[in-house]
Amino acid sequence: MHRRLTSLLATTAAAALLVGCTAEATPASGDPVTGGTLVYATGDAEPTCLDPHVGGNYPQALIATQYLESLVSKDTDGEVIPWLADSWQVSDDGLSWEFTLKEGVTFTDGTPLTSAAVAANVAHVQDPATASSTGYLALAKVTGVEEVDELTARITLSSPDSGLLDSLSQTWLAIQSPTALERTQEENCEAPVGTGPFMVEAWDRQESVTLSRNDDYSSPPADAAHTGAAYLDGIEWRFIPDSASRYAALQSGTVDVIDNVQPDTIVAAEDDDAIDHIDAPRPGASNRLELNSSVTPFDDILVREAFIRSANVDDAVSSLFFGTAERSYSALSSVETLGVSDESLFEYDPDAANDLLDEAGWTGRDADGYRTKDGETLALTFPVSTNQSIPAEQSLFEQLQSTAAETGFRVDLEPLDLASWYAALGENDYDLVSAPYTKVGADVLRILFDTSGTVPAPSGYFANHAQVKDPEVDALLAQASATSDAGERAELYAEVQQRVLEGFYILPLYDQQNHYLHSTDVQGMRALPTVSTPALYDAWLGR
Amino acid sequence: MTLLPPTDGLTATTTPAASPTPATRGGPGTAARGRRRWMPRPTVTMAASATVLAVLAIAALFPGLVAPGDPLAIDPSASFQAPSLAHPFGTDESGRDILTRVVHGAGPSLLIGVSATAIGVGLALVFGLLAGLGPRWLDFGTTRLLEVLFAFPGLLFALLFIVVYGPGIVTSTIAVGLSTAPGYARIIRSQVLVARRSPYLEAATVLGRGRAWRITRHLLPNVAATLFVLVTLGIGQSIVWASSLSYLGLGAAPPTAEWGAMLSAGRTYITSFWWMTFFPGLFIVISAVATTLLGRSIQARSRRS
Repeated sequence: MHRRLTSLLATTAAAALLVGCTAEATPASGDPVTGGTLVYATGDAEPTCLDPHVGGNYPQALIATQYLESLVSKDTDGEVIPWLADSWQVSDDGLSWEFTLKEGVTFTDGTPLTSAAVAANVAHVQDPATASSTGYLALAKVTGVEEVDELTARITLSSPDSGLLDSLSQTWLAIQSPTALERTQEENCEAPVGTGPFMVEAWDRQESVTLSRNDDYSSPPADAAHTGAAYLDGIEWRFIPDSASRYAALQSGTVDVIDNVQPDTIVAAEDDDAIDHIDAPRPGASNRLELNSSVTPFDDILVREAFIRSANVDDAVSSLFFGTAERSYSALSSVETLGVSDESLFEYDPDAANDLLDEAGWTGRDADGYRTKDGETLALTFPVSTNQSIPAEQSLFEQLQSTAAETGFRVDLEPLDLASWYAALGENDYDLVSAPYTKVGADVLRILFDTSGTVPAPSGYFANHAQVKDPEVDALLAQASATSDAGERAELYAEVQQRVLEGFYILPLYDQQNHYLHSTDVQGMRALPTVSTPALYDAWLGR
Repeated sequence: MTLLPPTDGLTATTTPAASPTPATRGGPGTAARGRRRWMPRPTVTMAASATVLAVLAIAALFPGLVAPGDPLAIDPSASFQAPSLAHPFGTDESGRDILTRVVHGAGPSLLIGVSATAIGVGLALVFGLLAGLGPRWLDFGTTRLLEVLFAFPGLLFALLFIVVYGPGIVTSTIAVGLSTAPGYARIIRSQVLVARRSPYLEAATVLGRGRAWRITRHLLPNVAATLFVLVTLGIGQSIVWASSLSYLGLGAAPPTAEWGAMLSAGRTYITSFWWMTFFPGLFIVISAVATTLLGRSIQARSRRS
């Protein structure tokens, strides 16, 4: 009786809204409209595989968010909320987690979502043949999955992992159809099968990926604005690497959403009433330079500090980012509540830098004015990924190169495509590198600074580019990961960060920039609070 | 087949320059060629383009005279400034003065254009002479090889070379040079064939002159006239090509002051800060147009006389 009354009220309210809407001339906002294809233009590198288990970088997460879903998600307050799992329970010793899955969910190939699917996915990520890095590293402590019953999966751990839920909320650990995972990797890369609101229809390389609506969709995360199928008929996911062309396409209405927006474009778009801006910094690490402490000259802490003191980051950021990026003094993104910031360690001080280099024995000068020691020039190899660093960031590196030269550092910038860049890192052929790393929660510190982070994952990628090998840091990280006490955990992570910052292993720049511009015709789009990828399930086109 | 390939516009128009006419005017060789080139007064186009090129050459050789600043000096507080009295061409994203960079960029940009053309014409000369003077089988082989190379669009060939040998100023210069060579070689070969059948060369043979003498004293000077036109026309093209390669990130690396690289760096800001791309682009156009116009007017002159 009561239920019927509310539904009646709801219907009346909806009808009233509809009437109100049709009476108005501008249908731009109001009730969601079903239909239409949204064109999304990404400036990130085109993935080589659409399955984010394989490798696991941000471009994959961007698109996979549209067709794959995770066990849990997070709301804007940072609370873990149900997604494919309705509820979860951790054992007292912290060594096993039971997840109860949503009932009646099927993958888009018809396979039902069961605990066996969870087991198959964990096995897939941990299989060296998958060549996973991001997902693989996040599951470092997972020993296996037990199928308790059809809808209950128990994940077992080698030691307690306070970051497990955060890890599982990420797209890199999204749950795919176990039937689809049995195909060859090549086939699965071409069109992964998930439970998401859209599914992969076709992939025209170097051009676009066509996504179509999953009409049977039934598993939105707890914070979604509606239930049932998505409003959009589909998404055309285009690759437009050139940022000026991307913005021009948005202005002309050829595309509806763009990402990787240049700072000057963000400022220009503010004056455009037909364009809205979503600023969604990525979680995990801040954007920072990592100083390779495993080889000369950065194996000497004095030289590391000298470099950091010689780099005028503040002026560079303000000249290039038009106020769209704020200087960071932390290893972690500003969205991470456990981040520690220490401005005093990163002040631009060329005099101090000169003294430090003198102290470190780099007292000679070569013909070009660069410092030398025993006939060696103080030269730093800096491979720059042109895919992962926007042009403004590459200009920032040029400015740092210029200010560091005043102190006597020769910085050799090497612009590289993604594949060559990975290769340079793999061969330990770098002194400086800027490598974004996105992960939900402070557990990212384990991946970036634990000694084990210098060992390559199956994909060949390792994340501890600063090559911090400090037993003290390792011990603190292990404790932080094992404790269930939130206060203690925060303290331990703070200690780790202070130690890393004082070791001058990194030079923080700013948050990992993640700006979306979209036409005001696009309503209901948001960035997922987990890894800040665009969620288009609630989006609709008001044109 | 062994005669003139008439498909090539350049060949057709430049043929008279090396046709046997000089022989009837009192003899082959340097004297006739020199007189023909310098006889009439320069046209306005010729003078104007020569002046532009002279200015560019000064900028290339003595950039410090024209723009005394440091092209790499950054000034973050003065980034993205529009053209003004202090910065006539504005400043770039790091506050570097664009006028200074354009002037200092003339050297590398023009050097790439000139050396690429030199490589192209040099190679072409070898191939052209081999084909034109060698035995029939050598001519056949060389011509077929050139035709195969011709099948590749020039820039594609350059890209292929860079993929193999890696990006950089030197490789992109060689790449552009190599990819222009087949075109030049074909023209040179046809010139050599014409000259070989000319009465003055027959006369020299009858007089018992050696092969080397005939090539250096009779053949080369006559081919050189055409070559000079080709080179002037080619430099403009090479500058554009080299800039394109830098623009694609395959030539000069940032923050080198090189026109193509500057264009590339300014590209992302084209909607907000037009001057970052306009001025380097303008100079690429000016230098290409000036060399081309000079080449064309010399060409037209030699056709008239």
